[in-house]
Amino acid sequence: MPPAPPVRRAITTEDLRWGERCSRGLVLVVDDDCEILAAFRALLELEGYACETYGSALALLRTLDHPSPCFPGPCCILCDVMLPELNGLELQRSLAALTDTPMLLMSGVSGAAEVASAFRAGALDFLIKPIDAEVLLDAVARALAVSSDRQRQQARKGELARRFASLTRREREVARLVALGQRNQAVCDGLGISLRTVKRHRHQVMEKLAVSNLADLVRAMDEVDEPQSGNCSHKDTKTQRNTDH
Amino acid sequence: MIFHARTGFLFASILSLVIGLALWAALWSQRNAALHHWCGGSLAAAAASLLIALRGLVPEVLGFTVPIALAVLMLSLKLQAIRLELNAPEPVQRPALLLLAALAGYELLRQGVGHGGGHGVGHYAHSLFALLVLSLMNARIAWWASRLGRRRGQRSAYWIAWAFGLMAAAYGLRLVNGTLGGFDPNPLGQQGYDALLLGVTSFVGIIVSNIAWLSLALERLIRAQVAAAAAQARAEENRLLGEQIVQLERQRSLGLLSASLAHELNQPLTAILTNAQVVRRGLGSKRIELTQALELLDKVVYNTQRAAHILEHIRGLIRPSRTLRQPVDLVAVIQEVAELVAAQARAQACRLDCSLPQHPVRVAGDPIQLSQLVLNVLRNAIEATAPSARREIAVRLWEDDDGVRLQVQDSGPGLSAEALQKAGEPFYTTKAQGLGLGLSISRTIARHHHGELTLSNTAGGALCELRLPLQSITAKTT
Repeated sequence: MPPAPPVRRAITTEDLRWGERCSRGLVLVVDDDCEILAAFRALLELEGYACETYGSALALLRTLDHPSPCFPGPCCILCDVMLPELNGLELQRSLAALTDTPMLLMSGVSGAAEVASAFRAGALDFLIKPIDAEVLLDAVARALAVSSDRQRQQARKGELARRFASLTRREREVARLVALGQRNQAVCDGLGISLRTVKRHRHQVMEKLAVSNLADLVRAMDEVDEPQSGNCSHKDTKTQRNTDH
Repeated sequence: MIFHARTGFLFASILSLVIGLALWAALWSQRNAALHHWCGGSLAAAAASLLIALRGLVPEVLGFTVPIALAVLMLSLKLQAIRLELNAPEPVQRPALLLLAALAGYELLRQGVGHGGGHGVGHYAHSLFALLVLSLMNARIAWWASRLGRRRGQRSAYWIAWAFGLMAAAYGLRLVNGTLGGFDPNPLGQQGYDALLLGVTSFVGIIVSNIAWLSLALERLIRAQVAAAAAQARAEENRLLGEQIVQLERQRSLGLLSASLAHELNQPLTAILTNAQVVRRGLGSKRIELTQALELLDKVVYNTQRAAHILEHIRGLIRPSRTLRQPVDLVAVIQEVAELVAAQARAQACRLDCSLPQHPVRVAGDPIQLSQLVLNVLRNAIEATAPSARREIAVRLWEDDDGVRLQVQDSGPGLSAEALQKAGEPFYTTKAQGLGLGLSISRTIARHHHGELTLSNTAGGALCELRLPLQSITAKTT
């Protein structure tokens, strides 16, 4: 489990309400126009989402560097492309290295090149201003769904990693060989241990990894052995922190 | 005797005098050195003819020497008149020398004959000499007149050439006859057909050459009027064209700004749409309070005004206009233009730092043209900062004793020596897509407002300074 927030404070009813909103979804909106920020916040809060607004991409990055305590729930970023100092596309690239929070980009006028590079960098959607409320909410809902999906996946992976870590060295060896499709006899020949021991280890592995059949074990071992790239749990700093139960 | 010679000379004298004076009077309004020479020549001719007519009745020097001198003078004056028309006047020494030489030759021959008292050709050598000189001089005038006639719009000079050419021929004929046949060279003496020819040619020559001179002047007058009309038409055309160019350039710079302007307009529209939809959804499902709805509607109103404000600027810049003179608040102009270029500045990550006075700074002028000037200057400054890491533009406006000063300092690399020298010339540009008209038009606008737009380099980059005279307090109307 992630470490507890360093500062503990009493939870107020306001926090509880905020937490409730966060469980529906937290939308981080970045735009240099405060009128637009206010309008989007009004819309998103009306729909029961939690919303944080940032006047610039740098402001958002600063907040991510010093995260404040937050409540579990899906999260997405809605960002304007035309921003001072650091524009939306640059922010997208910076964030990609930092978090896998789904990103929605928006712009008033955009060339095909801009849109293409946004999608290439992994934007979930590209909205053209002025944005119809339905379209915006739809995009936000999809982004949040993706976010919770990713979070669930992360959680499962974290859980699996923990379970795998609890295996002994011998159990791991047995698990690997079994997952490779070797029969018990082959395993005991390969490792030079008795068939009974192999069976016991195998039973332990199934128990510890909470899998009930060989197919699940193979899948679990595949996930564990995956190279740690892309969706790594430690990368998803903000959204992941408090979501694991 | 074919006709009475004295009467003939007298008639020629009167004719020359009358025509000369009439021409002088007729063309007095467009008098010039050429006219004075021409008419002076006519008077000299009149005097010469008169003295010859009186030969024998007046002392010998007046009957012989002076008329020859006057005749040479008259031809020199006419020649000079034509050469003045051609803008190629003869140095005064040359005709003077010619006059002295002719006179000396004539006198030598005449005195020599007088003492010798001989007969034959030698007896009237001085008369033949005079005929030779006059014939050559007439021919010379004819040649110069034909040169004048070759020029466009001065065809009448050919008539002068013909008249003098004929006279040269008539003198020549009489010279040949005198040399061969031997007649009394005294113009008042023995006469042949050549004398009649000379007389008629002289009368016709005097009349034709003077009329030709008159029509030459008339042609010039008409040409001048046509040229003046053409110049006026051209000036008018230039003015209209200039106005159109100014307007086109204005529209073009707006076109270049259009992407950022669209973004700028989209912002309030986005806020309006979202706010309105929030109210609609909220009220539809009774999820928002009335006060919150009112707040959101206020935002809708505010953003609508914002959008209208931007549109108003754009419309103002697109609309063609004649130069106005009215009190213009430069502070407001700069703020409005700064809003227009804000999006472009943002897109280039350029910071616009305006330090403007709190009170209005009024100048007399055309608000649209001044906006255009400021727009050009700010856009140039924004584009100039592109190569720099630190992109900043400082805009300062203040009043001093001389008037109003606007300084736009950018953090770009500054201008090259060539650019500094040539900037502001029409069609000089350092930009790939530029027309090179922006600064030149801005300079013109500044001049129209009795001001000045200067460019210079400072340590921090390029500095563009506009000076305008302050509008007097009394002229404040708004």
